[in-house]
Amino acid sequence: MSDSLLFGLALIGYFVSTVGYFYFAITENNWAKQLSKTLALAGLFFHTIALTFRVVESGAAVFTNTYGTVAFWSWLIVAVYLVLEQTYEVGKLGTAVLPIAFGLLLVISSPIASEEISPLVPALQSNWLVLHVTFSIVGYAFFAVAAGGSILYLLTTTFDLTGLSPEKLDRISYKAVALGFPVFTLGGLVFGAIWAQTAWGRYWGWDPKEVWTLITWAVFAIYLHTRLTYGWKGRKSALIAVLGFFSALFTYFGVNYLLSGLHSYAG
Amino acid sequence: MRVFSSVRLAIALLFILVGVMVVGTLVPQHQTLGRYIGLYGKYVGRTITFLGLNDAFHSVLFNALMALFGLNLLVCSLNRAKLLRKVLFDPQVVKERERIDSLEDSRVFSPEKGSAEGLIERATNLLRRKNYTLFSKEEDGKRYLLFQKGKWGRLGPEVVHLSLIVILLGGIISGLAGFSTTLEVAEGERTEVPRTDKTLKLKDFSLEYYDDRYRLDLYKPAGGSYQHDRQMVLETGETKSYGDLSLLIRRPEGTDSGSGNPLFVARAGEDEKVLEFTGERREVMLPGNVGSILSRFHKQYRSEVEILDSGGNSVEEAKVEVNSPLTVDGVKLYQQAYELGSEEVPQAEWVRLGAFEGSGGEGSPVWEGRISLGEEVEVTEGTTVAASKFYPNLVIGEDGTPVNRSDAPENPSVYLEVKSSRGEGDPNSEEGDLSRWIFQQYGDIHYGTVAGEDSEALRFRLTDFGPVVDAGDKSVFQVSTTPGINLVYSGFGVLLLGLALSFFVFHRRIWIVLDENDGEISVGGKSNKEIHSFSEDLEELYDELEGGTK
Repeated sequence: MSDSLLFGLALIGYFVSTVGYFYFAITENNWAKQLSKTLALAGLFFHTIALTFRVVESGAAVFTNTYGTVAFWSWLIVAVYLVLEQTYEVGKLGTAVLPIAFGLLLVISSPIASEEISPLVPALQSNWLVLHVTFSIVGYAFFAVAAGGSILYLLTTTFDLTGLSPEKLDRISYKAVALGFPVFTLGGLVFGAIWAQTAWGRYWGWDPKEVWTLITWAVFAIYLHTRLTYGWKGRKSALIAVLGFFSALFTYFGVNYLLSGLHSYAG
Repeated sequence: MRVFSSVRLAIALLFILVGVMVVGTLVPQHQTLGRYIGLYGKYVGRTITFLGLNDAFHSVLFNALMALFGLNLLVCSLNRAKLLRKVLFDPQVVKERERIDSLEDSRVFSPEKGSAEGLIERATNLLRRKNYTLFSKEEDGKRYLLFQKGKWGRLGPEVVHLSLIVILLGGIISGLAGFSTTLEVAEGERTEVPRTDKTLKLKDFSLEYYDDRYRLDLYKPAGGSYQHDRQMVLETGETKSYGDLSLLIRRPEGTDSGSGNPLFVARAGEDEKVLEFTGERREVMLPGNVGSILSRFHKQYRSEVEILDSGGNSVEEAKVEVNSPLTVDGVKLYQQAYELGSEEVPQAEWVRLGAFEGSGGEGSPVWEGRISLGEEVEVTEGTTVAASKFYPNLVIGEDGTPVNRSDAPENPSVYLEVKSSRGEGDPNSEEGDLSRWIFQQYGDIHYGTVAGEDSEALRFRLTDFGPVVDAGDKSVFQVSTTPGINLVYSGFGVLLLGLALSFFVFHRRIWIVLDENDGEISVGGKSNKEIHSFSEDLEELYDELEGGTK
């Protein structure tokens, strides 16, 4: 398939960009920063075409398997990151975020995710599919960026790295959570519940995917409350954000591959 | 009461709830104590059943935690109400200079004598343009000004918390007053719709498959057995390869799309395997010792139902499909599952038969009538007939027995069981067996069942048949009412409003104090969230005041 080649080019772009961001983080070489950004953009360009191809070819069915959804997740992470970098001039955040996008895209290129798109089973034939999945993934993308910022914050403060402003990383992570949380609530919980009501006759049924979505939501709710009412910042906040991201990863992969439930067609 | 109102409790509860939910998904649910002890050892196993974690989400523990959480949310919100009323309706205009100077973002300006009033006016104009609302007060020779916008953002968290309470209430109401059950009904049969005076009749259930895509699972030999290697989607007419194999699904030649069973062709060099794909799933051994399972994708489950009132009158005919439920007197019916009947051949509701006397069988029938399948009738004295089977498209299969090829009525046939005192029957059949297939289309050739000697022979003809329905399929509906659903949906709306207020509306306040005594102006600002654009507003204000000072 031609889109494998395009995904491959995106992978190469993100990989070299990751290396470039690391080089920039160490040497403060501005040229390296510009190059990394350009490569990330180039990767995003190929990634966009590849995704467009798949959507045009298979429609909503793209959003039903791990391959398609993770490809979209990875795409959004890079897109959100580039917008944040542009707005807040935090080039070094790329060292933490680009590897996440690269890693996710690499995982789906492995045999655990089948590229084949099966036609929509009866339960998935609904307009809520696209709304539920896209909004959830937008939320996941913000959480991934927040985790990237938090991991970098932890590394910076632990190893006393210079040249990075921990406050800035902390603030960006918070912003990513603040943007991701409402979107995730809307897409993951509200849209999911409404769809479950029309398809199964119950808006909530303690299905493992539902429970893990709620767990992820609760972890980020803890993040927000400890921050706003106790003024937890920095290290503690960063740890919770990373925990939230792992919970999101488990909601995404763990539930599909390790637990069984009504969402198990999502493999 | 104070315990319930603390945020500390809320956070602790969130942590505990997360813990229980993690356990509830990772520990297998609804097992016996013995099984838990086997899995986790004596103490952990006993703890699991003691805490009710074997049914974590319906346990007393979990429900108590949720109730406590709801109570905590409510008390927290009520506690904040007084503070919020002040923030919203009684803004703090007077803020002492020292307090302003201690704000994170603040400045002091010393304008030339007489220019202070002008500066204040410039600042006011700038901030008004930016949609800030002005409050002012004069006291002890000082002018206090407060500019604020986005105050409703302060309400956000409370709105979110109240929405969660509404959603929880909706859940409690649904749980207590709602019901949920499954309803299984076979084709042609009736069943009462729970909690209504209506009856549901299932006219037909159909399982629709995709006819342009098929699933092929490939297995490679691995030490005596086969191991799943790849799953592919085969589109009709598209050739895919797997190792040396080229794989193709195509429509049978000479047929238009849609009719006839598709052919599955697997080729490796000279070696070719062709299979007519019938049914839903077939295991096929492919050339090169490759195992495979070819299956169809489900497209839709559809129940055609008729709703009857207590008097047996039809009030509604409807289709119930997955994702489109039917509402009967407030009770919702969801297509949930199905069970295909053991009888794979669709059946006619009735057949019309004619019985003719004499070898020619011409003239008017001695008996004619419509009978249901399985029904036995007496045709003439001493002769009864029953139609036991109906095939819409009978062909003779490979092993010589009749099979039904498709649901299309291309060769409608009925199997008649005849009992007659007229004679020993058909000389061509086994002694005493008067039963045989008769065909509507070939009435002239295989005229029908012969009963008796030539002179008294009784021959049957299939003249008509009723609507063809699948036999024995069952449809399973999820039947439920969710009385709290409107409350839950309203809660969702309020939740989204609250989140929007919390995360996208910021309460920004800028205080300016002009001290008439020394002519100095103190300026400072505060936002309830850390945001970028607010400091821009302040920078702009500082520039404006700076410009006026010079």
